[in-house]
Formats: sequence, structure tokens, C-alpha cells
Amino acid sequence: MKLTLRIMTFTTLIAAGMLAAGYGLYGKPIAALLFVALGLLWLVGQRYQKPAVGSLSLLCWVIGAVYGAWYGVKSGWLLGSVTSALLTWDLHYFTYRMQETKNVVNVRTLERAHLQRLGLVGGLGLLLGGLALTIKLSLRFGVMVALGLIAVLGLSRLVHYLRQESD
Amino acid sequence: MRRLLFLSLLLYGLVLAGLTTLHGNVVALALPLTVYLLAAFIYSPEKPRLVITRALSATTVHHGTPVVVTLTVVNQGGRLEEVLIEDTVPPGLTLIAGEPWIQAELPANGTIELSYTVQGKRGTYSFRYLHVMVNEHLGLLCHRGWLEVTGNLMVFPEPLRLERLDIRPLRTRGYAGPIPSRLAGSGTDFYGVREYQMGDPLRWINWRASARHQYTLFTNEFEMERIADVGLILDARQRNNVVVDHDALFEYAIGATAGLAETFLNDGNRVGMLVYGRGLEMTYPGYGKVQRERLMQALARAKTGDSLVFESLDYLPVRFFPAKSQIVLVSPLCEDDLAVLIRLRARGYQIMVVSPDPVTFEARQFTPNVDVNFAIRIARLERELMLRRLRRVGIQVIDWRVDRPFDKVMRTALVRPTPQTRIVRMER
Repeated sequence: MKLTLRIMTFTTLIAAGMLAAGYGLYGKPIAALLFVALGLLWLVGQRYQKPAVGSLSLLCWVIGAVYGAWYGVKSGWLLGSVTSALLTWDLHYFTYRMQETKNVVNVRTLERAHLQRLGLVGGLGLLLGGLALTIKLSLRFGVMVALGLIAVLGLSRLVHYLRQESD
Repeated sequence: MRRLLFLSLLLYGLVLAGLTTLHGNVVALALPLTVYLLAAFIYSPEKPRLVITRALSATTVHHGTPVVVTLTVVNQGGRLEEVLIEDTVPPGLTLIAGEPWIQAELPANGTIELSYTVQGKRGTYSFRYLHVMVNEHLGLLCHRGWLEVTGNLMVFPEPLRLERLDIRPLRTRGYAGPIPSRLAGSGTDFYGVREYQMGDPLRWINWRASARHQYTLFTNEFEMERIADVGLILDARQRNNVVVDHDALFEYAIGATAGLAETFLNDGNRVGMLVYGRGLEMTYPGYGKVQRERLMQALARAKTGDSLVFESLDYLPVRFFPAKSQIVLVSPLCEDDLAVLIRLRARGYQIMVVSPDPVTFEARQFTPNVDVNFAIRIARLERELMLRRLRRVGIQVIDWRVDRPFDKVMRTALVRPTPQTRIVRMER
């Protein structure tokens, strides 16, 4: 589990650092300091094995990123921060699960498989997010609304299906 | 499930915030979360098809003996990325090694084995359900379920060790044993003298008595030693049980009954048992190791309880015990029991009462002061009077303070000869 713990600490620092850097470069040092402090708190929460801290921190990061986007903080920082926060949230829960169970067969194999999957998800998310931020399309309002509706409906279907599948 | 809900809400929030404010960058922030959800969807686990078997290193053990529980899980479906098997350990058993759960990756047709060691107090324990949880690596989607994989464990009580007990029932059985039968025949103890009969061994002739008569020879007679019928009665009435700091007087009574049963059976006697409490649990009389196992099983199952019918000993099924046999009652006793015991004695049963002392046992929980000491004194006097009345009618009474070794108390009590009162008045 050492590798996972190291990666988790690293992604936490990246998440906090990128959001703080984004706000700092935008001229909001207090917000930057706030996110550094939140990052440190998250690190402490990881030590005490509180999965609720992970969810709360991810929520803070997403809210911070949305505010940042509205205020005009550079989107690259925000995307990187949200992706890192998502990875940290996942790893936080993963380490919690593993340490709660204690009796895990081939823990290293499980750990590697998890990290591989997470790396793939993080990389793909970052790539798609990066593409979405760089490609600029001019759409009419009607098309935009239609696309928005499709996105919401698609998401609803996906979430509904996932909730049905999961007990 | 909660994580899935949380992530979905976050995702909706981002998309809606982006759409309502017409801010594409906010929608773009939702993409990593969407990919995460999609990955969970793509790798969602299929419904598990597991065959689980349970094996216990022993199904009947003595108090304190460790038992290894082994669960073998065979996956008859497709590959399961992460499977968590969690066994439910019955309350009362203590885990002493290993964990009752396991998490592993399980390939198709793969097998994992979970094993842990438990230890328990006297009782019967039933293993039933297993919690199975299967999820993909991200832990977002999972299938949970309970599988019934049964297994039973019986923990016998620890019998309190006893040396041979001298009992003298009025009637014995036909086979040789250690109990004086009050009948003349071949034996070791001198019984009497009778006139010589043809066939008597010459070394049995009592020359001293024969010398006093001119033409008659006399032969010594010896007391035959036989086995006896012993009926054990365990009082399981809740009203007579005292519990102090999770320590029940009933458990001591169980230990004593187990010790008595073992001792009587080791001597070759025919032993039966009756647990009198919530109902009547009878173990019919028998000999040997099989009977010992039956008695221990009955003692392992024994629980205290209340019943309106069996509140007093009035409904004791006397016919369960052969006439004039030895009855051993293990009970803290209460005032109402005297009449029944005296009645039994009047019918010719040889009765021994092993009575764990509830007064001393209960007194432990009180801080001594004038009032408490006075109350204890009164309770002791009442008890002493009750026991004295039993002794007066020829019932052997062993007043056992449970903090003292049982074998020592029994030895001391049985050294004193019991008055063999034959005439017993029925008390009304």
C-alpha cells in the first residue's frame, strides 16, 4: 500500500497546488492560501482514515474550480486540480477499504490493477477536458440547448443504469 | 452506492452550472468525472455465481478449545475484479486468530479460502449468513448479497473435576460396579454371617462363630457391589438464577452437573438427566461414552427460563427416575422446593442436593455496610434453616460457595455420614 499512499499524497499536493496557483496567478492570494490549507487538512484526514473527508474535500475543490472558472482563473489549472482531486478522492476510499479489510489476498496485484485503471481514467479525463477547453465551436442557442438536454438526459440514463446495477 | 450518488450529484451540478451560466469551461470540468463514471459502467461487475462451503475443525468441543472455521469460495461465473466475503460470527464466540473476512480478485473458476479461529463459552452456535460484495476496481458499482452457508458448533461445559463419590441408593442394578448394593453376595466388604451351605468356599467359613456351635458351620457374607441408577436434575428456573457482572450462578451449576455426570458415568453407573426450567429437557438414562456425549450436549444447550407451569418443582416427572434410585439435584433452592424434595425422599429415593450458594454469590456486588451485612445475615440464616430441614429428613445437602473448589467441598461434605432417616412425614 506504500505506492498508493505516496501517489495519494502526490495527487493531493497537485490538486491543492494547482488550484492555489490558479488563484494566486489571478491575484487572489487569500483563496490560494485557503486551498493550500484545505489541502493540508485533506492530508491529515487521509492519515485518520475518514472517507467523509475525501468527499467533502472533492466538493470543496469542485466548488473552488467552478468559482475560479466564473472569475476567469485559467481553466488549465482548474481542470488539472479537479482531476487530481478526483484521483485523490478515489485513492482515499481505496486505502480506507484496504485497511478496513486487512485480510486482502495479493494486495499488490489489486493495488496495481486499481492504479492502472485510475491512471487510465485520469489520463483520459484530462485529455478530453483539455480538448474541450482548446476546441472552440460557435453554436447557435437552439443547438446548444439541444446538446445540453442530450447531455443531461444521457447522464441521467447512465446514472439511473448504474444505480440499478449497483446493489 | 453513496459514492455513486455523490459523484452523480456533483456531475449534475457542474453540467447544470455550466449550461445555466453558458460557461463552457465549467462543463469541461465535468469531463473527468464523466470518464470516471463511464469507466465504472464499462467495467461493471456481473452478478456473482459463487459456491461457498464451510468446514469447522470440530463441531463439538470443550469450553475454551479453539475451532478453525474454513470457508472455500469457488467462482463459477466470470472474473470478479474485487470480491469481499464477510462471515457473520455468532455472538458469544471470540475471534482469536485470523479475520472473518477476505478481499481478493477472483478469476473465473478460481478459488479462495478464508479461515479464522474462534473460541467460545458453553452453548450452541449456528453459523448462517455470509455477506458477499463484488465490485469493480474503482469501487463505484457493487453487488451485495447474503448467502446462507450453515454450520453448527456446540461448546460443551467445562466439567468440574471430582473424585469418586460414595452414594448409597436403596436399589442397585444387576451389573457389578462400585456401589454397595445392601445385598449379600460376592464382594469385599463384610456384610453378615449365615449358616454354611454346600458349595460355599472354605475360606469364607467363619471359624470363630462356628467354634461356638457344636454341629453347625457358619459362612461370612459380603456385600455385593453393583452399579446404580443416577438421575441428575439441573434447576434451570430463571427465578433461581443470580447474575452478577455477567457472571451467572447457573454456569457454576452447569459445571457441577457436568462434573457429577462424568464421575458417575466413569464409575459405570446408568445416568439420566433432567433440565427443569423453561420446559423439561430429558436425557434418558444410559451408560458410557455415548451417554456422556448426550449429557454434555444437553448441558451445552441448557438455558435458564421462566414457565408458569414449571415455576415450582411440583411437576417434576418422578417416573423418569427408576424407583429407589439416586437423585442428585443441582439447584440454589428456594423455599417452595422443600416439600417436593421431602416427598421424593418419602418415596424411597436417595437424594443428594448440590446447592450453589446464591447468598454469598449475590453479596459480592454490594459494598459492605451495616444494612447490607444485616440483610446478608438474615438471608444466610433463612438458607441455613432450609438446608437443615432437608438434612433432617435424610437428604444429603452440599452447600457450595462457588468461590471454593467443588471437589474439596464435595469431599468434605460427603465424609460426614448422612442420617439414614427412614420415616419421613409428608409436609403439607
